[in-house]
Amino acid sequence: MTTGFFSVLHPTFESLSEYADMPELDAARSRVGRHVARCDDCRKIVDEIRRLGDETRASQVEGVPAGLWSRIATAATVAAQEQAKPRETPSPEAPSWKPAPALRPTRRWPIPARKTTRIGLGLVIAAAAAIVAVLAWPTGQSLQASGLSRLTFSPARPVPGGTMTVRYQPSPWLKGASRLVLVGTYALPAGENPTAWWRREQMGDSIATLLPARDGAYEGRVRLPKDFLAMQIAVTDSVGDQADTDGWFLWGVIAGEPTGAPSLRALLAAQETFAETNWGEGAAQRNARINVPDSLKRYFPSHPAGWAFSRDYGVQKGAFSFLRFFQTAERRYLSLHEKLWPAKSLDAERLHDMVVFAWSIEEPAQAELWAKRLAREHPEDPRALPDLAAVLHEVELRQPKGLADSIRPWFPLFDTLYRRSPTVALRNSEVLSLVDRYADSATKALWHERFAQRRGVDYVLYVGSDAEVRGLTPSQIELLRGELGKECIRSAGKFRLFGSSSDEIRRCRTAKANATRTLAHIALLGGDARGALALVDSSLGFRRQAQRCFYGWSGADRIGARARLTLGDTAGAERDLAAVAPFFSQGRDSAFTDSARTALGRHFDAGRWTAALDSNRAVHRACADSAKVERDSMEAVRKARIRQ
Amino acid sequence: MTAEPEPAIAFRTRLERVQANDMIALGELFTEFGGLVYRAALRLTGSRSDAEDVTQEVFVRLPGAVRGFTGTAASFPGWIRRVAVRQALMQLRGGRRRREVSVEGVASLMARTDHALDRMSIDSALDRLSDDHRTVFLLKEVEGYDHAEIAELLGISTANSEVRLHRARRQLRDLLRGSR
Repeated sequence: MTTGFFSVLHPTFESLSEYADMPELDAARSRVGRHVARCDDCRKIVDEIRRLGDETRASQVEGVPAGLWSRIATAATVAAQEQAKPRETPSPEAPSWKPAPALRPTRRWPIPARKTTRIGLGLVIAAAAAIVAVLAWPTGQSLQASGLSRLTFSPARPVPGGTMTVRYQPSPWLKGASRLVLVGTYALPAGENPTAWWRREQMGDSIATLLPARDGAYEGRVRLPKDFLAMQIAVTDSVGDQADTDGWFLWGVIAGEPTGAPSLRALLAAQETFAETNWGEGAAQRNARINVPDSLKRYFPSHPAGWAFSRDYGVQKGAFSFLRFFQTAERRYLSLHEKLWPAKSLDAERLHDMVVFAWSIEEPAQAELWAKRLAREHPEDPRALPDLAAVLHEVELRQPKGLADSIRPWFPLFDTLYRRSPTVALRNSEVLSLVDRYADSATKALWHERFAQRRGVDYVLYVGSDAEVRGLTPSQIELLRGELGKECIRSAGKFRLFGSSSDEIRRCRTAKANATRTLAHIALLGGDARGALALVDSSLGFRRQAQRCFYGWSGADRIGARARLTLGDTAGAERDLAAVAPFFSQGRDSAFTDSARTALGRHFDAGRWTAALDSNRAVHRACADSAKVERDSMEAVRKARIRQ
Repeated sequence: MTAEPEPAIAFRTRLERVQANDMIALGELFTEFGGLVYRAALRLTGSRSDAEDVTQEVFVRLPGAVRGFTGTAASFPGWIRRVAVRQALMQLRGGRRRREVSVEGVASLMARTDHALDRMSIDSALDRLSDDHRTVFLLKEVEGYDHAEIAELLGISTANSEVRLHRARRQLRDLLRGSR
């Protein structure tokens, strides 16, 4: 549901990645280190991260190609000859001859008094300009880009239902367009924003049209909805081929109160969505130009949200770690706890934020107190269930005696919370793993069905193993069929926030290919090899539409090969398997070849197999080269426009 | 005063011969360090032809460049490797990279299977990263630069280098998990 949920459960991927690089001693002392020491799942991720580096270092890179030295020797000889050529010196008798710059006297000494005055005056002016520049330099959070383009809003804190003027100084590649489009997504109230694993690929709505102004900028007006809280925006050309963003991030606008003051509701909504889009809280806060937790802390210091989501308390490391307590986080938590805990009723937001805050200062017992209170006082809040599950996961990590007996009594409450808020995000939540580990089979089946419903089509498209395909429910298979009926066209008024909107058509076709591939897999497991083959053909057709230099597809071709083997067509199976060749680099296909040898048995012919691989690679390379020529020429046109 | 050891003198002499455009001495250096330069370039550019260009550029300019080298024989491999990395980055920055493997969307690679046929190597996964992410990952993991050095080499901020590394690792992990 929110990024906060992830942070209370486990450290973010970014934190684990940072941890993987730390020196051992620092790593063990860090907060993440203490979590990793107890959490198998996180330790596994850290191991995987470290293994990526190990594998890359261990991978063999081919040596110097034959003939390179002769090429270098030729070039080096030519360069040496060029260097050795005598430089032409003009004859002193030539009329235009003047002493070379290095031979001319450059300074007279002593410097004449008038010149000294001029230098002194220049220095004074330069110093004054430097002071003005320092004073005028924007400080704090700016709503403007610092790159090639710039987007400004007026008013900077617009009122819901009001109008906002947008002014865009275009990036070079959008200059000269007759109109541009402001695209964006609106934030929902905190706690209601859907989680998207790959949110940066999402589509945005067309918010306003920007038209050229006299000075080369583009301007437009946006009428904001009455329930406006915050939004993230980008600028695209009118067809959505190229989007411009604020560097790595989207531009953000956060609503204000009618009085012009900051709005708590709007900031809370922005905190949740901005952090999500900007790839995790840590990255968002370090690099985004709008630091929402910082604004929350500044304008609402008595609210826990700003403190809960901050990741930078200026905590000392190493020998000075004992100073941590005095560096605000723990002390601030204590003061908030003393103030909020005695309150008879608290809103769900504060309760959830206290859970997050307690986790961030590593006080699981405190997190438990607040999570239970959230579940008791606001069972309808979608954050109640994941927060409670996180607490139980912490109990699990302590491995007390009679662990299973202490976890099981919580399952009825899990059930109640789910019923009160069925929109709760189960993905990335500890709920299912707790149920899997400690519940009886009926409860497990119930939660798996719920989980399957919540996972939606994204999950179904990427199942691949026989076991996963066998586990698909009828409703999930319906989802797959539904995908086939979709028409891959650009939706009116929808644009990609990052990149080109035409990618959306490619994604749609790829989704269709994946859906058909899984249906083929189902047919194959159901004993219908011919039906599977027909579906594989159709799946590959969708992939060819989606990808120009399509080079075989391990998923579908493997199912095709299996179907053909069932029908006794070993030559066809070999052809299907070899189609995947360009997917693997030359010389790194031994595991792939071994599998083909096993699959084809006595029909495997090493010579024929190698020839098929080489031929497929050559075809793919030719296609990739011609695609590159086209891309380069388009890039040249784009660069020419930038230069203009 | 201690006399300079003999191998050190021999090494210095060889560098002086290289400075004087002695092709035999340059050839000796190529035999010894050509592989190191080529491999570093190949990893970063991901293209054999680009790696060859980078290696050629490094060795053609070596007679002039070694004038700036003041270290010992032991530090020469590290020095020439850095030269190769900078040259490869210039090649990449100049947009002259010739990718030899087509790039495919991450999502389409996530079709998981339980079959050895679908195992993707770390190299194939690296080929599917963007140049920005791939470069930072390789500079950190293979070349051993820290974020401050990477930031200086690429002209980006240290924080940006960190973010690129995290993203590269996340994508690599997704790609490899998707195929294993």
